[in-house]
Amino acid sequence: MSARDLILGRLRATQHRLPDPVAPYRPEAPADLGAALAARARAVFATAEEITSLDDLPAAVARYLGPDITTLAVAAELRHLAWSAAGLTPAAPPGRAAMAASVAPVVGAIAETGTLILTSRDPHGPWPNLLADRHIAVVPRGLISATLEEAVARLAGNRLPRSLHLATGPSRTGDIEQTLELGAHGAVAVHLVLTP
Amino acid sequence: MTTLDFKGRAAKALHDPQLTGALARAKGHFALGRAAAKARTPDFEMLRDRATAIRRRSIALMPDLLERFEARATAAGATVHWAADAADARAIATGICKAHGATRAIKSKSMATEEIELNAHLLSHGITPVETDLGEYIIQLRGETPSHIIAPAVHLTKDQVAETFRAAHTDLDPARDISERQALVKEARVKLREAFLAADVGITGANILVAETGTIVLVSNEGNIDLTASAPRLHIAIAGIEKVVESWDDAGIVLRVLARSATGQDMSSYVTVLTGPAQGDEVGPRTSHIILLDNGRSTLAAGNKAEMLACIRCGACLNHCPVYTAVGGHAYGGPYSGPMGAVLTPAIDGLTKDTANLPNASSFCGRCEAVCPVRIPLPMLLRHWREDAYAAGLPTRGERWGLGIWRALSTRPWAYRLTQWSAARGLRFVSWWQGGRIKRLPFAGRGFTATRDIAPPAAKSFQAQWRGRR
Ligand code: SF4
Repeated sequence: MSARDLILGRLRATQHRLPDPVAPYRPEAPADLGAALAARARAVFATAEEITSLDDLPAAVARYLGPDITTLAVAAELRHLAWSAAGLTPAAPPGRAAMAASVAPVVGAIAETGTLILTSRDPHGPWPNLLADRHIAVVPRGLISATLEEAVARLAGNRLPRSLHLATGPSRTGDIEQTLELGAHGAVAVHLVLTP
Repeated sequence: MTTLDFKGRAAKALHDPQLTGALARAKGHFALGRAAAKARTPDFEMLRDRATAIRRRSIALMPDLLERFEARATAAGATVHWAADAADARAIATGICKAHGATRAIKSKSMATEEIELNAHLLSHGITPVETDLGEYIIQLRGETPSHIIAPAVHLTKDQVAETFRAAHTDLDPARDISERQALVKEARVKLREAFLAADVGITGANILVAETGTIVLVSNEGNIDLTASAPRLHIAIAGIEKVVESWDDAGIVLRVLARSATGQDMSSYVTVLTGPAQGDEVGPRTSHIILLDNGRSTLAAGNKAEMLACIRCGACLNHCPVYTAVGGHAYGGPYSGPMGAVLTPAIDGLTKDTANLPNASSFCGRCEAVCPVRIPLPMLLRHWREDAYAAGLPTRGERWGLGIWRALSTRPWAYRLTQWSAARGLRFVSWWQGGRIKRLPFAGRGFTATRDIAPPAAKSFQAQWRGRR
């Protein structure tokens, strides 16, 4: 008998009491999803700001990075912006390689938890968060979902991407003496820029 | 793995001041975190109720949900394997690695792979596994096993970690300063980055299997799982069959109680959602295998301890257990420790003289059940194991003899009162003799005083006081 038949057979040999289906959790959505997202993100060591036009992005990024970082990976969709006018040198995302800072749009965000969503379908993949020291996430307001469930339903379409990476605040670890340290493997710092 | 049994290991742990200090610190940290999360989540108890029902439903529907999961995951392009036991799972995993010429493996923390002792097996087949969760990486370098299901290196200090890194990272400047935690984290980040980008295969566990979409959900705080699952060309996930839930609505609720109960977070820093392999120009491995592991679980499902399969491995029962927080995880002799380990280990390893000891490592205070996000009646399940052990004739002659005396006394009130009265007098005398505290007792009492003093008994017994009040 195959292991599959053995396991399923053993499981089917016992009848368990079947509890009723459980109501899904649908907390009341906040009136301003963007404000809720920013507040929740700040509570988990991220920073956040809002700009009124995408054209203001290079200046906002330059302000955030400060004078020490002038070259950063910029996602293809954002490369047309006036980066040099803000004193920055945009580089193509290096793929699977480390970078000091990376700016890229996210495909979604979750207001309930302050979460950013990256996927395997993004042209730059999940690397802006996982391999850059500083991840600057451009979050179009229209892509913010209230909950995880809503976000997954939205991204599923015909087929879920191979991977969704739900990142809430910077990477962290408490593995040494149960003391919080940021930047274990993923981004050391996460900055959200909300856009119209 | 060790020649001592639970009692021996526990006694050793209690005499290790560095360990008991680390455990006390961790206990406060985790318990406070959970309490704070509970306090700021008005729906917490409602979420627990729903998570409890979801997990019970998943157990009842497990065979159907597993088949649905298999069908959906296969449709998404993954290959699903079934492993009846640890040997099966190990053979399947190494077989996949060999078929793809993979010799460099990176791993994210997975209790299932600890359970099947995968790493040693991989090594013996020429595949080098590197653990990437910081805590797991540290204990891998030290050749130890995890002492906590979510904080594997909880028993170590930063100085011990620094020592470990100096011994392992011999290519780095021996004069570097790694006295601070931040420097240690950074060093591991750099070292493991190399491993991520060089690896052929990423091996992960699974926190949840979503039947609806054939999806694996994993949680971490470091982001190492995302890298393990996305950087190499091949992905293998090893998941206990009980991890399956019906829908995304179910998964969402489980994630909410898991993060709050484990680390006091509203959401784990990284939730990794994997459906099939990468297709078209997607980023990620082109090949994805999922190994569904039984290893005692279907037998557990058939008996009176089936509720244990609802466990979501949050660690809250460890963090709130007076026994675990005194002796630590290694005393339990397996990857699972604390109350959940005391129930799971005999199911996985079988009921033996050693594992039959684990269900005795409880004061039945009930705190584990009170904090368990899916309300598993852990004390009751421990009692079931004690009954099974007794029925199997596992307790020693001495233990049976002791229980026999206890039964004789407790069914004869006059004899019970007489024994109690004389024992209390005896103990008060000992305490007077030893200066007000009972520091040493002879015979069977030695165990009570080996690691602590006992206060003398009250002048009047509870029963006597009760009679006086009525
Ligand atoms: S038994 Fe309950 S409290 Fe313990 S690890 Fe499992 S889910 Fe968490």
